[in-house]
Amino acid sequence: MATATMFPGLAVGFAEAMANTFETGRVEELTPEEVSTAIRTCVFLRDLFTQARQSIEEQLSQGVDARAFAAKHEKAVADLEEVVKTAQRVVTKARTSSLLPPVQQFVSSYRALLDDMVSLHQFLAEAVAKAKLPVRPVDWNRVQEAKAAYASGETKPFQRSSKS
Amino acid sequence: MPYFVHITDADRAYLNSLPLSDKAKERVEDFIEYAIAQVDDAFRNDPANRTRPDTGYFHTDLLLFDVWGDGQLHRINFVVDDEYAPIGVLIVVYVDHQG
Repeated sequence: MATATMFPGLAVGFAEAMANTFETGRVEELTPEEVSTAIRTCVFLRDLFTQARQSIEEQLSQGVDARAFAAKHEKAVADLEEVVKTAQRVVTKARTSSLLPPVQQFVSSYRALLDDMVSLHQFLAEAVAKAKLPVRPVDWNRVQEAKAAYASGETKPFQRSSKS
Repeated sequence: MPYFVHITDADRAYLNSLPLSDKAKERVEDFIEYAIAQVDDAFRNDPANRTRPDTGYFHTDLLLFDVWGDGQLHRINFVVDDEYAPIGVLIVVYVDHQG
């Protein structure tokens, strides 16, 4: 299963190639085969983003060590931010251009890919930000009370209360 | 061998009262079983995981997505006294939920 740390490079490469194609005006020179390949690439990348989102949600719903999660995904957040910016440039450029129908079809696929990238970036950025939140000050009185409770035999060994 | 994890009634009640779905609460209990009861020495002794200014405790933070409940991310900070680790006992002395 894809994870967000695996594939931003693919998306970055594709987004930059498309940005270059639009910004140099070569988009009108794309052959039908190239347009078709670009659309298939969008579908492929969307599938990867969907898998990545599912994988991250699955990990987080099982519970993870916050700091380990932040360390693992921090770079992916930064990489995704860059690719989203590049893809937004493409979509903005496309919006102000007069495009042939096949290219318009590609832009539609690309816009859907951008939506997926934005959604994943927002979710992952929120999770990493939460993981990196500074720990709030410890209430040391509660700590001392817990230690005293253990010393006087008032604590209990942890036992599950829920059914698994 | 996992440690015996002790917890006060107050902290147990605090955990039980968290605004989490039952499934998410099970994941919290899983975390206590694998991340605290089976904590390794390297994690416990890593200065980054010791409390400050009193370094007599280690802390570990759970990040949890309550997909069954409010659909939100939750973070729970556990502070654990490992003074009795040599005899196989860890004491959860502080729990803080940041919803």
